[in-house]
Amino acid sequence: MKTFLLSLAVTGVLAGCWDDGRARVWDRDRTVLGPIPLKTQIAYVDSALDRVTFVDLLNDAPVISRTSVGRNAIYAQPSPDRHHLFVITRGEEAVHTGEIDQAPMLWSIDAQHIDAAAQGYTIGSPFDRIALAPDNSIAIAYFSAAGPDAAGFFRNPNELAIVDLTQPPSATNPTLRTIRSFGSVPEGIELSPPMIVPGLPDARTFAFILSDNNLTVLDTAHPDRNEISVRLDLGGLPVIPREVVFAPNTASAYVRSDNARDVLQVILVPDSQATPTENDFRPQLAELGAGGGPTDIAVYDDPNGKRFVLAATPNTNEVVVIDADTAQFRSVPIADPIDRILLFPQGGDEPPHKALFAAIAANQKRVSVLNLDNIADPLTEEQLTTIDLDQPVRDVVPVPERDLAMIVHDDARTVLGLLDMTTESTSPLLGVGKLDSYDFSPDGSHLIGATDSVSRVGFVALDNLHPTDFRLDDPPVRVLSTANAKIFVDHGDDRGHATIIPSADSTRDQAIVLDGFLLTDVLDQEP
Amino acid sequence: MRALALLLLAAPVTAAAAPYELSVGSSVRALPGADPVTADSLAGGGVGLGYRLDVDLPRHFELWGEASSLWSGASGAMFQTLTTHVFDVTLTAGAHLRYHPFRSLAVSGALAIGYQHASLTLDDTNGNSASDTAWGPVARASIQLDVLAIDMKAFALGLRGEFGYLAAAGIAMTPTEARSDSSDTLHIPMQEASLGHLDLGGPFFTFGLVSQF
Repeated sequence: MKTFLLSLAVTGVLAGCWDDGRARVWDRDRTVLGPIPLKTQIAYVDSALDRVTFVDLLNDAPVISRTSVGRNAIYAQPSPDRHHLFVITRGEEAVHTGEIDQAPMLWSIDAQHIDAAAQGYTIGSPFDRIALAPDNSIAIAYFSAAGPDAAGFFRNPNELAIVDLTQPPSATNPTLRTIRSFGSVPEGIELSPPMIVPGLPDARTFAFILSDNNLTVLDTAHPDRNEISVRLDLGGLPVIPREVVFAPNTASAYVRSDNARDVLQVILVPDSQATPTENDFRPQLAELGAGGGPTDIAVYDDPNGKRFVLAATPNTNEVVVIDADTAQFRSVPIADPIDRILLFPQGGDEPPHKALFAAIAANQKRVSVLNLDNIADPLTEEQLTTIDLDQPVRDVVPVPERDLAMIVHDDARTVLGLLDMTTESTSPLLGVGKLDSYDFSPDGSHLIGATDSVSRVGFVALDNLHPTDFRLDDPPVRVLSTANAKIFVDHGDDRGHATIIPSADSTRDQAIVLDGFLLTDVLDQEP
Repeated sequence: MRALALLLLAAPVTAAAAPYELSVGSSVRALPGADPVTADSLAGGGVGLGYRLDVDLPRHFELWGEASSLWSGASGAMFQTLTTHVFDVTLTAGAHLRYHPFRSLAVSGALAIGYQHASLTLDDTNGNSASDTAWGPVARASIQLDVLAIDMKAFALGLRGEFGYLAAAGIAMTPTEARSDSSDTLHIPMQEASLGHLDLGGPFFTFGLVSQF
């Protein structure tokens, strides 16, 4: 017995001492960013395996593919058209065996050509936010207010990395800039679509950098030139820019700010350039006469191409329709403190005909609809309709491609309503639980919803409000709809576990469960 | 060298070994090829049976046929979030050539082939668990040192230490989540992604009792 115990002890000691030198990659912190919906793919970014996994739902059988990115991904964002994915990796210092020296990088991945290697741009600092131009030509990486993490010694919150995505990385691409600050830091960056400033030969993308009491305009085509700072405060409460909408045809932008008196119109006009570092444009500012502290704005072009700005000004109990060219405006009295404006129809080439107003912060039990046809004509009486509801409005969401709006009545999202903007009628929808995740089919035919405590996906056919549901094998965490109308249900498993439902009327045997796709072939991977 | 030769010539004649052998002990095996799932070595126990083959060999040499079973396990973590459990049962058959020049001391060289049954379980922080098991071929080469407290013609008892290398083919692993519904539940068809090949080969050391009778 003593001998046997001795043998056990010897073996135990050997087991404890026998170190075969495990690579540190297997002990790294792992964060999975995603699921991130792209056009027909769903992407997951793995910060430990330094790779992006794509689940392509284009064909009947899902295809899983991977592409490598740099060390320690911290942020990912799809392009507005969902054809590209942009990932920021923090990089690494080679302190231990198996680690490498790698600077923070921005990775551009063309989801339509997964076989091509991701394009990496060295951005110098571990930024954790990305602003993207609508045409995917420019990206600006910047810091969020909180910053990425506690690592590092110094952090310059006003630093930007301006990346020309149409050009390969070089000594001048990206351009690192620190914008002028008056004590505030960027809260957000909006990039304009290409805008032609009258008198200048080429269309350019302008960055509008939002920070407390400041608006900074930067010409991304010439990032080495001086930025232009616009002070927004008037000595009273801090003015916090919240929203920018662009009018590229007139090289202008409309800025809505908290605690501002009016909507600020920024018109870019040509200017003489004395030195190479000066700009060949300058902003011309105008306050559009909302006159009451706008809480939300929307911009639209009427059938004649004339641009209008709709602004809600609760302080004056009005909604203001402003001619963007002349700054003439028409006030429409409305009792509720409106803070949400939606235009219908949305997107497409057809100009909007109706505007939906909701007072969400005030929990009002009604919404209003304004007919926009001929609204600018002072001889035409405004047609404002108030729709009374049974429950207060907590959120309003437009249904894509449809003249419908989903109204959320409670914080738990269990009581919903569907507002038909054509008939201006509402229909209630009751859920069995909290609507933790929802999406609309791309053609707006179905509302797709899930709650994490019920192993089902619910569908509502928005044509006739007929509800159906689909029994899952596992509880859902997030539900997404791809551009080809397939439904992707993520189950929140670190290994990757998802159910793919081909369409809203599919049966269970037509669906497929994908399991373990985030760790595919990880045992065969070289550390 | 000459002194060693003289010593060997002067050694007392050892007892002829009994025909059967039983060994039990514990083992530890490093896992250089399984780093993704665990930093630990496989630890466990085993039992071996031997039979002395009646073949003509030079003096002090014996040839033994052997069969052994080894079971061992290890736990670990991947990326600090996935807990892993590896369990392995290795069954081998082979032979060892034993050199027994002195009473109480013998050295063997062993070769064996066989199969291992590996199982892998992954548990995540959300309570999800997935596992898989599979068989794969192995080959083993080792050196054994027997130190015998009793070394008589009909019976021997002592300690055996064995150091060697177990070569294992990577076993394809596709862990899947256990589905807990009743057996007649019609599940949605599942497509599992392979985790890759689990290689449980590596240098090993065993230590235990050996008896011949």
